[in-house]
Amino acid sequence: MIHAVLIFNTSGLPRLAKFYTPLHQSAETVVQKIFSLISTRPAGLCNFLDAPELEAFLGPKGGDPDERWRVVYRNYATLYFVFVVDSSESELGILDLIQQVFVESLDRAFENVCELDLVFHFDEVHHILAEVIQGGLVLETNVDEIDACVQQAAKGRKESFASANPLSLGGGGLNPRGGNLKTPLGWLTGKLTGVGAR
Amino acid sequence: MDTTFASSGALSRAHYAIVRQVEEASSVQEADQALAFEVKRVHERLARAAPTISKCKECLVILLYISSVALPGFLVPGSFEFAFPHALNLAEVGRTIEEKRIGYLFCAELMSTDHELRLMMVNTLRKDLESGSPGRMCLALDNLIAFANEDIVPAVQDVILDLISHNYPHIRRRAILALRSLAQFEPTLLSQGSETIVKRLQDRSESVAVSALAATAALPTSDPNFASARLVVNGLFSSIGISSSSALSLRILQCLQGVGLSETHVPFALDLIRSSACSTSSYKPASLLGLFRLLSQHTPPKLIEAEKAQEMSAVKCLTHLLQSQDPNDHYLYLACLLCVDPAVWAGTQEGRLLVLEAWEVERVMGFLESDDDYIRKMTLTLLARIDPAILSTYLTHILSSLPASSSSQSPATPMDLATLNVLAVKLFDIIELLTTEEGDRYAQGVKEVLGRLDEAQGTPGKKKVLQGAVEKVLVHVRESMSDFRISCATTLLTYITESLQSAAGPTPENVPPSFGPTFLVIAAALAVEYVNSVAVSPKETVKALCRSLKGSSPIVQDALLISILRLAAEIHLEDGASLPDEVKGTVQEVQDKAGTFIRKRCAQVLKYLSDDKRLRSVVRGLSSTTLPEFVQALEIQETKGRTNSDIYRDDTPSDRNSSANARSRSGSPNVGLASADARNASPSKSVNASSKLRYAAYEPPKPIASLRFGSSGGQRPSSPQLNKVNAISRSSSNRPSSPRSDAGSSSYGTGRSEYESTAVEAASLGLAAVSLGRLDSMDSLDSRRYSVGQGQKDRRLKRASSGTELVPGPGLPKSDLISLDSPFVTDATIGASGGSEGGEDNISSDEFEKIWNELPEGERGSQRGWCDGSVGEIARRLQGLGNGHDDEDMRVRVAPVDVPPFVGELKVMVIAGDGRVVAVRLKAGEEDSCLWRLKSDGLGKASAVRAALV
Repeated sequence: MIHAVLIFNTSGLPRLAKFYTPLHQSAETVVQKIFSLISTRPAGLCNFLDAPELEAFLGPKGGDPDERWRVVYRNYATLYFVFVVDSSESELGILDLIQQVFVESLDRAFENVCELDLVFHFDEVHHILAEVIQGGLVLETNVDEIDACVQQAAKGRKESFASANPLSLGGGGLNPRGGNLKTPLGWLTGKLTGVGAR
Repeated sequence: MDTTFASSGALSRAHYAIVRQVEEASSVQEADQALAFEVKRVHERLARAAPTISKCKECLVILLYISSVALPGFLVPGSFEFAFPHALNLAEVGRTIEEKRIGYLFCAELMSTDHELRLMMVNTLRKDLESGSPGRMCLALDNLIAFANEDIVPAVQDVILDLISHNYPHIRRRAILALRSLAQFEPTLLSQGSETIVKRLQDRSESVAVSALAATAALPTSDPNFASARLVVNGLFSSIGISSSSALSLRILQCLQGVGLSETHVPFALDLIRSSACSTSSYKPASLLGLFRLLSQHTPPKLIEAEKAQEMSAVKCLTHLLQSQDPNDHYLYLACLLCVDPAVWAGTQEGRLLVLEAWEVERVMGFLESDDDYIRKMTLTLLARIDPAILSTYLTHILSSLPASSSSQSPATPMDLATLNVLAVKLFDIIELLTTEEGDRYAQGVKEVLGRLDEAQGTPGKKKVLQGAVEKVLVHVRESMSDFRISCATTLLTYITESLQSAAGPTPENVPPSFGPTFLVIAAALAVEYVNSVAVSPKETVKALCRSLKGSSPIVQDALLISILRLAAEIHLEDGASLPDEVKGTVQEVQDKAGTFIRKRCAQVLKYLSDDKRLRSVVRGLSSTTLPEFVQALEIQETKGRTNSDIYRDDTPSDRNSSANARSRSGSPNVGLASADARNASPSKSVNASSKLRYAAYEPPKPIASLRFGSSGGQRPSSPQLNKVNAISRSSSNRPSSPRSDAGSSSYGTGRSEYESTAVEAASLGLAAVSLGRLDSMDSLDSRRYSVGQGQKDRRLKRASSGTELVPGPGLPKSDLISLDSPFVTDATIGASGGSEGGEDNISSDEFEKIWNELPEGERGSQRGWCDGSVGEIARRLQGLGNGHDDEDMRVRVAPVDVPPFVGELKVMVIAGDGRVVAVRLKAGEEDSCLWRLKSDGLGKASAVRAALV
């Protein structure tokens, strides 16, 4: 089972924190703990982390003494995508899920997704995540299906934005900065955006 | 943030403005102020009469954003309570799925699972489920999966059972997962739907089948459809391929981990593994690991037999992973190997040869030097499974390869401190694996390894503390089981005290101690932390530490001095005895020769040693038993005379900045929401003000432990000392609690795990010696670095509450009144009030201590022994003396477990009608046993009390 999905930037500021099991401590504290575990790992190490420390935050994994919380993460430009799973979930499967499903879905929805997209559209990010994972279980891995569901919702949002902002250039809803060449996020090139240091 | 409103896609200008303000804030305070102001503004907007749906949605989105970027502890619990009715309303009356989703999302993210308003969602969810609109139904099912609770089950179970056969696959798959979620609260629900779920395993929609597999994995083996489900899943397994990228393949493998792979399918699994070796570019790593996990379900003989029949070795098929440069492939290799019993492949079973070639073994052994701790630990675990002797040899090899030194000369090439620290961590990893659950052996290993590492440092007089080693050992001891902890600490301290006995006689001047600095720091820390648990006499430990004091470096002297002081307090408290004579003299000698910092520390120690009462008050105020906490308590005591303006010095701009910087990185101290816009108002004052009206009619209760240390939702008294604790914690960059959060609710204050606090503590213990090294640098050793985690407080509270289960605290009637009236009633309080039944009176700890010390020692006055029964049972027996003794009036008075002196012991005073007293201390032992110690004034009623104890 997936117990948590977190996205935070390289400064440790959370951009998405979704927990599927009750926490023993505040969500912010858990995010900081996981950030401290991951940010200290240099590049070139594997994407998995055995994290007995998380027992204090997520509770002990009962039963099998070898059973422990595992952290699977990937770093893209300014963001870390982190999943906390137990042994019933394949950590290698989760690694694929992050890249091939979740990030790909975000990229399709926002067209070259960047950190600011997650800031202004975190409700949409929650929606995309909900299409992929429900209750800690993988619901859908077909990116086309996910994209179709999200676009349907985005259409409504776009109409809503246009009606609320009649003078805008119609750039509302998803793909917010399609026409703004000054702020390419450099998702793949690793450039930083103008997001503050917080 | 170089994005305009039009191009940002923000929901509204207000949304854009707050995001921009926060993201462009130049300091944490500025961002916090913006967030606090925005919450206030949104609150006002929502409070206006009937906000429109779109305004409501906008406000909720802004609040969600605020909740996601707020730092730990900034928002006090309940900060968004005002918006819950609006969120529920939006989920109910939203015109579009989008609007309803925001309402649901807000509740899912910010409303606690036990919030009373969750009940309000039941009707909304049910209406959406029955709406007939696929969008609304999917949304409701999504939230049902997340919101499932026992209250909602009766309202929706019939609908859900119908929906798992719905025509629309998006609804079917969600209904199956919802059924699985609801089954956690109503297990029969899964068996009601199990037949349909088994059918859905072969659903034409892959995503529905994936959901059905997830639900099947949760089926209990007692379910009548379990066997058929297992059969179907095993059948599905035979259809998958190793290169298949479908989620279905992976889910089948995961489901089989739960329901079990049938023996007949083992050859097919081996075939798939073999095909992965043939098509190394197209196989799916997750599937490969899944297959190996399935093999782990079968016994080695069966696997060997299957491999022989197939003429292959599963492990041999992984060779290509060893040749890869990708660390994830190395992880996969080791993870797969850990799934298969070594008897199958490692040549440990007679007649079965090692399947790996020499270069492969060499490569695996090479992982022991990996930079990746996880890979290295996996390799160590693998080797330990094959044969622990390999690890022992490896350990010996490393230790023997270290530069050696005789007592007279230093090694030719001493190792640098950083390398030694890394090496220490690696060596202790091995020792941990070799000594699982054996604390004494672990302690022995620590001693040996540290001895060798010290030798490798070079000149005996210039050995440094290995910070990594200190941290590693303390964290491991802390994370281990109770028996391990005590056994390890006892053994380590025994080494020190034994060395004292073997080297009897005066300590020559300037002779280095028999243990290295790292060992001494660890021993000093453990002596303080487990002072109440170890079997070594504090007096002996003090003597031994004192002997090591003169020849140690300043950084070790600091730790030793603090440890000596803490143990001295224990000697006074425990036995009422005096400190060994040589202690003060040795400290005085050290003071005369030391530099500034140690001189100050010695003066502090001498001052407290001559002021017994003050020392006791410091120990009483401890919220945890760790050395850093004790240091902090000493510092607080030192600052007692200062004015409030001095104490809250962190409110000055410069201090605010440093505190804020620390927050941004270590994320610790908490600032209440309101404090951002009303900084001058003391948080503790505001809390007191809120409780003042409510409890004004009562005399303030005497503090009892459960309230003093503040559990979740508990209140803190506003004693000057505790206010100062709060003040220090606010100024401390490491401490995750603020007066506000502590007082209002400590749920944010518990933001530091045992591990984390130990890490901080170990770092503090390392005392930056590694980098400092010079005595003059010690002056900069700010006591504020000695911080302690809230987790320790919680643990202490837990222990206290369990200890006072049957026993009331002091001032019980008043506490009880307040407890019942207080919305912050805690379990511990309930436990304490529960113990008031039965006619027990209570006694203050001071009074007990005074009487205990006055009672005579010796055979006639003092007795001790073990008895069967928990502390609670023994307390009841003694209580029976008070209630049932008909020949004479006897009263039983009790002092709580968690209040010093004698922390961890229940203190019972039996007072006979003639005024004679019998004082009893009860300490919980193992397996419902109890250690008692009794003192009486002459004959008294000691025999009657002793009869109740034996």
